[in-house]
Amino acid sequence: MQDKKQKRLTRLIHPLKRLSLLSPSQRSLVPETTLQQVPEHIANDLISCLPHETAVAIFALLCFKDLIRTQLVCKSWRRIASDAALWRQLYVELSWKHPTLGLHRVIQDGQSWHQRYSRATALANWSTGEVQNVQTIHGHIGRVLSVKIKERYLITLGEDDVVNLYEFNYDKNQFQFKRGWEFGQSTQNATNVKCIDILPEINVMVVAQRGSKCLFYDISKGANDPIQAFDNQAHRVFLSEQHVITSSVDGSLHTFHIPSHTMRAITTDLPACCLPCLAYDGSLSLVAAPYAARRLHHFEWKQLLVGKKQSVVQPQPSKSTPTQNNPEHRKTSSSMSLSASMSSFFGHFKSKDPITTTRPKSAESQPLKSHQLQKSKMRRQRRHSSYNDFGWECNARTTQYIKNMDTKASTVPVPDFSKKISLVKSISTSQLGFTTSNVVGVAVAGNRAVMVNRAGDMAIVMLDSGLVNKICPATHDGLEWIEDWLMDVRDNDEDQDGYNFSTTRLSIDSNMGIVYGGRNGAVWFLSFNCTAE
Amino acid sequence: MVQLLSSDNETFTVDKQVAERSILIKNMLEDVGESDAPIPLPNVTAKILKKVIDWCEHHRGDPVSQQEEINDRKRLTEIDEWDQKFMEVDQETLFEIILAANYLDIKPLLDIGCKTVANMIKGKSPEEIRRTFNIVNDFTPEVRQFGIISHCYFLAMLST
Repeated sequence: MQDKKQKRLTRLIHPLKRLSLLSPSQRSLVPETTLQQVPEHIANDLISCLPHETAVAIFALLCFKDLIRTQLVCKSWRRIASDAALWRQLYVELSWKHPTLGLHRVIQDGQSWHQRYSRATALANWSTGEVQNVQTIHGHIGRVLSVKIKERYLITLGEDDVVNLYEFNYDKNQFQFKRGWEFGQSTQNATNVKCIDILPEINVMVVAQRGSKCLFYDISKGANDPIQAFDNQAHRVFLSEQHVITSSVDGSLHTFHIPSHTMRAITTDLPACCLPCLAYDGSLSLVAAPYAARRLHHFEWKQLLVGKKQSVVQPQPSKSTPTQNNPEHRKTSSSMSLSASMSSFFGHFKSKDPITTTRPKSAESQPLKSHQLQKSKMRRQRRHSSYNDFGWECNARTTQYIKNMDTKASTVPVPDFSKKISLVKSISTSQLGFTTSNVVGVAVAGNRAVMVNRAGDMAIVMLDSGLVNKICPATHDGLEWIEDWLMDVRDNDEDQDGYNFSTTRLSIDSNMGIVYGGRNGAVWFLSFNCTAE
Repeated sequence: MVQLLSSDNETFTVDKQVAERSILIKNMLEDVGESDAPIPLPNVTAKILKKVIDWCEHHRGDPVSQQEEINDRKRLTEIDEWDQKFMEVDQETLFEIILAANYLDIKPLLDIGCKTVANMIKGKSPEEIRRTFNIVNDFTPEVRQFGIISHCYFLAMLST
């Protein structure tokens, strides 16, 4: 009987012996065979010696940032920290934590759980406004008047009439200064810059000057002179794939269709209170956050059905130098359209008719009736507008911009400016209280919008889900959040509503983050993406 | 009373209730019934077995833990004071305790061990982790660079 029991016991233990890492004869944790195979240092690493399940159980207690760091420690740690179960667990926890964010939408077939989790956590950070990283750039003297972030480029404009260009360094995970332009030496007293925008795909930056002129710069070149200019009384300028949209001081919007050189006023039914505080994302969306309305209005244009000429454009890598691989026939066609539009421009300038009736073939066709309707509307608008002449200047290098345009694949939907803009959604922001009162700035990119009030409080609005959240740092370590606005208030700020309204100190890029230009000359870059450091 | 035999042939006599904190021993006793013969534990040294028995005796009255709900990662890594003191040992001992807990199937002790190690990793940079655990970075410089960049890129390229 006793023997039988003993036998059963040993039978039970025997397989366990084989499974375990430790053999009774060894003091070391590592079996001899392993010691012979691997270099000495790995034998010292205790976690790698644990059974995989146990090591994973340890790593399962770590947060995302710690896991990323452990992946960078060594190879065996990386293998453990890449275990799918870990990331699936993190994803499940995250979606339990934020049941309303619809994080399941980020899941795609063929993605690892690591990728799914990373996407979900970025979306969650955006939606809840939790800033992960803050970079402060001190590049200006006086106030920052305008900032714009597009992909990896950031441009800033200060009261010192300097425009700075920064490029994102993925290595160091921050923006680095690349180039600056100075506009201070202008002879006329009113030619300082009002607003800036950038289109990184074709290396073009646009600058709106107070003296009613928009200038284009090639950011890939060192030259400090503009490649094209046109006139408008713009105080705000947005650059999209094919259009420059300017918002004038009186609130009228104008587009300048770059390939066809046609400028037109956009008819919108925007309430007057929207006008000072609106933003356009370069695609279809336009958002407006009236100063006291406690709402964010989201407008959209109808998508322009792609015409013959646009559809010809073939996709090409955007980083290649566009001028060299440009087909010859395209050059001629664009210069032809250029001369045609130039003559049409000057013709109308002489007859004092603000509309450009003769458009090149590339421009979209339009029924005559609505055209005339628009004509009369534009006359009406013209009368009340401080918009000056349609006279414009251009030089030989104008074609370069068009060349760049032509080689670029247009993936972004192009709005049909001939149709009226329609209100998609009006999102109430009143639940955030003070954060969304006295809104003075707004920015939009894709389905995300951000607004800022006079005190520098920011709120993020998800346009598709209507979620509104205050933007706050993920770690509250007693840091002064963004700016001490009382420090930098000026005596005439109250009288001069213009300071806040007429500047675009806020910009957003849906991949990178949010940029805010402060009153003390500093620019803040707020990132929502988790990174190791 | 149950007798346990460590790998280095040292015998420990413990209460059955204490010994049954280990699911492995509990199952064994259920299978083979009461016996005077010591239970051999070939994977555990006397030093570690002593620690484990200490722990089991202190936690003798604890309710058998159910599957805990996992809600908050912060709460997960909190360790009570006695256990914290218990785990103030050198790294090798700590890992042997974890291995023993794993082998003996003592879930709460394994959890505490994992939490202790997790706390050693938390908030440290990769270099600090390497120093703590005496690890040599075996990534080649190119891989290292690429790993970091690709990761940042990856995060930056996230779009929804």
